Amino acid sequence: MRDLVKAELLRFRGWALGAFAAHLLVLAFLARVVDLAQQPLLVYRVFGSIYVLAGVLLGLYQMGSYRRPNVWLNLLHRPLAPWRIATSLLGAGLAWLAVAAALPVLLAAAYQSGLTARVVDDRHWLLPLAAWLLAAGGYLAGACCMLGTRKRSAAALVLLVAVALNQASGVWALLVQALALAWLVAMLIVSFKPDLSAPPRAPLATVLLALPLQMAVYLMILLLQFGGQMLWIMQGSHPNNTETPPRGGANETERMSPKQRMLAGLAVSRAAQAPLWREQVALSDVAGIGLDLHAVPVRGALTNAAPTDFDDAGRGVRWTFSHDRMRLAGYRIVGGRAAGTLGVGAANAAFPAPTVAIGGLPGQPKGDRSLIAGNMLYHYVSDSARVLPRIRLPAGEWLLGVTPVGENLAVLSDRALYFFDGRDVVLGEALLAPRQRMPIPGAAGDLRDLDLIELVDGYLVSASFTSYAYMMDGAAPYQALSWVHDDGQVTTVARRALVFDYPAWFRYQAWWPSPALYALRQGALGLFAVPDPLQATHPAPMPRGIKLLAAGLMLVSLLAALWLVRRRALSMPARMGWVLACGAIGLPALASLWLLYPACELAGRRAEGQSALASAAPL
Amino acid sequence: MLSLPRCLLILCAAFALPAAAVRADAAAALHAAVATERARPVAPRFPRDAFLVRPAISGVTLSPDGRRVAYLHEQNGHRSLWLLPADGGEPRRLLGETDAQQLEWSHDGRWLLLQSPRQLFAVAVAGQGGSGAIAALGGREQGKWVMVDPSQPAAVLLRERVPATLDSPERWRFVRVDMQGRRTLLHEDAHRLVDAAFDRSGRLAYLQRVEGTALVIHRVDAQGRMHEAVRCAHLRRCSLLPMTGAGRPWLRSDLGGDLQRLLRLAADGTLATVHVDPRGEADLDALVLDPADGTPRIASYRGTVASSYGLDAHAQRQLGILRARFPGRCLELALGASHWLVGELGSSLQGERWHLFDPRTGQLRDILEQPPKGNDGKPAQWLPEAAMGRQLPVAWRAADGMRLHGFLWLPPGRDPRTLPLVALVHGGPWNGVQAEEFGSGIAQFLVNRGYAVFEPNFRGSTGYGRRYTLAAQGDFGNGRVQQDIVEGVRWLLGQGVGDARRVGIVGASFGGYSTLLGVTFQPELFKVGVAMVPPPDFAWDMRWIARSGEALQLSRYIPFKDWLRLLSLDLDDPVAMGRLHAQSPLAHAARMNRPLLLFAGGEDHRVAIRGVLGYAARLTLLGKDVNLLVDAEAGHHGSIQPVAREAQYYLTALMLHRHLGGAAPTPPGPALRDYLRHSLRIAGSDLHAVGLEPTPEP
Repeated sequence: MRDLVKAELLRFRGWALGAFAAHLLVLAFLARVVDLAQQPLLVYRVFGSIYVLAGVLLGLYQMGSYRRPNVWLNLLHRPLAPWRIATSLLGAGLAWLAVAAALPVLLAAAYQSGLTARVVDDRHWLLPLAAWLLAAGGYLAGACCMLGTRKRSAAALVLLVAVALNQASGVWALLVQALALAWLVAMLIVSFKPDLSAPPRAPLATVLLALPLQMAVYLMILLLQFGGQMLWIMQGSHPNNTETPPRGGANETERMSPKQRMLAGLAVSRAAQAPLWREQVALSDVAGIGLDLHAVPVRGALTNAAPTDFDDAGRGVRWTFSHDRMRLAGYRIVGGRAAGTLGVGAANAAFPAPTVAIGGLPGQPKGDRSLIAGNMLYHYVSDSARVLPRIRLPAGEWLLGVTPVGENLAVLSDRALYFFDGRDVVLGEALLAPRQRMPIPGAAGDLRDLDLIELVDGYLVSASFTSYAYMMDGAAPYQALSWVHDDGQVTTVARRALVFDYPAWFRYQAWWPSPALYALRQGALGLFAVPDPLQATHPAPMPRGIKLLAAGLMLVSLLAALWLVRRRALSMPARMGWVLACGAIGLPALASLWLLYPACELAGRRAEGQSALASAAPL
Repeated sequence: MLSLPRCLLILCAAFALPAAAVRADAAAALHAAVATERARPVAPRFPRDAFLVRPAISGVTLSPDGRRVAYLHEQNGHRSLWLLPADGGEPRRLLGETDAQQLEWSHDGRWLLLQSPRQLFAVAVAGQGGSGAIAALGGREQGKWVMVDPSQPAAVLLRERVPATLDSPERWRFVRVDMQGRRTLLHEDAHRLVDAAFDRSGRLAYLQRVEGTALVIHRVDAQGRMHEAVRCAHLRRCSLLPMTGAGRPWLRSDLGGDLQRLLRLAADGTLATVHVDPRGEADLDALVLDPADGTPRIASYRGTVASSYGLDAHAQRQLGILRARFPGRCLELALGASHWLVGELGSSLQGERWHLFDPRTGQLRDILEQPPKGNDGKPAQWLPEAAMGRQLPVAWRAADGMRLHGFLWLPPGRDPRTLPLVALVHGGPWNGVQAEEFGSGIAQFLVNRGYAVFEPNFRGSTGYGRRYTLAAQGDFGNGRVQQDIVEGVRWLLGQGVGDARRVGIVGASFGGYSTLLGVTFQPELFKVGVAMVPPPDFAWDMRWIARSGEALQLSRYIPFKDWLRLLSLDLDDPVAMGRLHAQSPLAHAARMNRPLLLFAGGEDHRVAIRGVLGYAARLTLLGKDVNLLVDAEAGHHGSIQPVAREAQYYLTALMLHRHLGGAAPTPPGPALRDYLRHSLRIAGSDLHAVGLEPTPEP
């Protein structure tokens, strides 16, 4: 076993050291020009994709070189159990991946930590491990792809898709990657056998191979649906690209100008003032309330959902948020010397959540900035390099953005819209008290457009909930108009139900092919993840027809499985298990049954050939 | 023996006679002035843009030695700093580009101080070098220029705020800054600081600060302890002159009287009047100080006439020469050791003219005769004075007996009885029209288009004493203040000025509000209205300002709500606010039945655009004939774009022409038409008739 490991290490030595050097050079170059620890999410995604791709290629190449029958025979023709041979090959591959993928990242982190004043938090020390896990995952998936029949072996890649889409962050994301890695290892071990085309027989092995295969089939169905949608778009009648969107639909509302949207909402209002408001909307510039945060930063996350640093040009200092210290750490833009840490107020207290810098508020000096941290808005005072709390929303709310509206400030959270007097921003530096609070009449994830005009006696606010109206997660689309009275009272003055632009089968296309796998997908994506308040929705009730469609498909699948298992060499318990699985999971399970188990005659012939091969092997 | 009714009749007559005599005097004065105007030759009609020219010269200031005049010259959009020798010779350019808006000389005359909104810049003018920015202005600390420190050769006094934090309340401080930017903290206080006076040794001898709703002057002793000297409560106005003379400060104040005057504080704390308007009519407008020791030398007043008085024999003599040379003019003076700088203003004089006066020889020399800038930024010409209207002071008595002042402009050579009459109402309302004021040019423009223009200084206006200002008693709805305007117009009509069937009302800000009141509640008098940046509900707008950053801009030192309360406008009094709202044009939009043109600015921080839009929406819904133009970039005082000002003139002339019969406006050029197309939000019948329509929403 040791010789095998050594031989495999020697075999890939040149490639691995070359990859290490190239990787290190790239990181060294980038580390000179940017702060690698504070890059936007896209940069990490690009690096992660490269690690995965490199791993996949290595796995494909390594196992591909052994997969030819005579080489495979030669490889397994050793006084070692197949799993030990597999472990030896994988050990060498994983070791080189640690050198090529993880070690350069570790060295880059060490450089930043030891030789610069840039922030290197505990989370950054996990990046080498993340790089290795990604590369290893790709590697094992690539290897699995080579150890099976063509029709089903690519299913291992679905675990990489799960890792990519999982929403966990920090060590929880690493745990998800480790679980995927473990699954891939198990898949590889059960696939590492003399007859690579033989279907799994043991229940555990069956589950290990069948479940990814079913998910892959499910994914293929989704991709086919997506392809169909592309054809629909090309054909020109898709609601997204028709010249005139469906009347009264979500798409039409989204394409409206803010003014048109408010007028459309007012058209169904029965409020006595509605005619007056219509006139005023027609005369006014409608303000759109935007978000400064498009994702909520999570403490300890490996990547950065939002920018973590900002420059104080006047002082020549770049402030970076440190997750370890929960304070801003500064260094000189020129020269890079450390410039201390900055917390809240004179006590230099820790921020309650990772901060994101946005522009200063109206009336504040040019170099000043605002910092969003959880439910708080802070004022960074450039003159004194101090941070002062200015807005505190109720605990549990996420402050998402600040928009000047006339002389005042509109502050949006995931639950409400607040209005503050502009005068107080300039006059002092104390906490501001909101004059009005309007609960958002829906879920933050559904909210697509928030528009308002100033009235003589308050505000007229239009909220359109159309974000996910094209899919099953979203609310039934609607628009709500609220009158935020000057005294703080909020009255709903119109609710306009919008039409679904897409038929139900389209909106539920992720669900009806397999409700069970849809649930599994959702579970996998949210595994260990903190729920994102920006994605919270109020899904519309599912139409009965969709439930019947799914049930029908499951029944068809069950009946087809009854027919199919009789033509496959399966034990009675296995047959029963497959029939039940096809009934519960639906078409993807049926497809996996068909892909995993060849027809009886062929299976019989293969079994005979394999036994002959096995008897010849000791010679 | 007299019967009781006869006694009463005699008593009434005894009281009524003086009032009647005053009325007769006022009427006689008006008739004489009208006759003079009628005897003048008819003026030609000047192009619209001739009224929109702007001076190319600004910030003119004389060095303390009187030998140099510094000024800013704007050309092709660039502002440069120049120095002109007082004894003759060519001006010298010191800076090719500056964003400064104001200039001051250091006390020793070796430095020029350039104030821009963000910084204070010192320019060395005696060849000593070291020019540079010396202090930041504005910003978080609200750094504000107070004065050139008269006790130091070269230093300035700044006022700064130390903003409140969670740990400490707001504080204020006076800082002395020298020409190298070195700062000396003179005083720090928990109260908002306002003003200061130095003694000859350079010590801060007096300071003024805000205490509650009062402005309080304290004497600062040698140990830095403060002793209250003068308390200016209940909106009494007080300000210190920069230098004390023999330890006694001078004040500008209305303490102890109605009119603002020059006072001097005695050691025993009593105040002695040094000078007050000899006509007994106007507040002190300006004081000219001796550059050497800060002693006041000349006092100027600008009520119904502009007048200046020497405070010593020498100044009186020199002023006599100047008055003879510039009869009836408003003179803005600056004294230097060798020369005086004379700025000449007149109601028929577009722009300011500058002269250098040699007090030893009595000779005058015209300087800075650069042509003004036209609408296109190119050199233009001032309008000829001989063809301009003149500002005629008028006075009328309101129904409650109060004597009110105003001004009348008449087109030269025209029969005043046949003229359409326009009431041009000033903004504020705590503001006023001053004598010898050409102003923005809108009055002259209307006069040139054949309108008699009446500018009333209704009660609440400033410049005529404390009682005059406070007489409004917060009655800014369709009440006493509006009646002042209406009664003034009716009085003029009664005197044979204007055609009663052709009266319009025009105004900006409060003047716009008054315009809305006029076309809503007095439609039988006002046939058309042009309201610029008008608050349609005065009470609501005051409440709105109280929540905005504009509040302290208006009240300056005292908290805005307290300031309003002292002006009898208690924002927390639901009855008073309810009454104002009930009398507002907004609440009575249905009664508005006259053609109306509204202007609004998207960047107006004083009159909320939402109010104007809400009012316009209400009128539209009611099917009223309203026009609305919104300039998205314009502030409360209009836009910096020349075309925006031209649009105001054009549309105003159009509305008045169509409803009062004045001269028809020249059709707009392509730039103006383009601006109108983009800025019009509502085109009523009048604009529609000339083909002006808002651009439809894409």
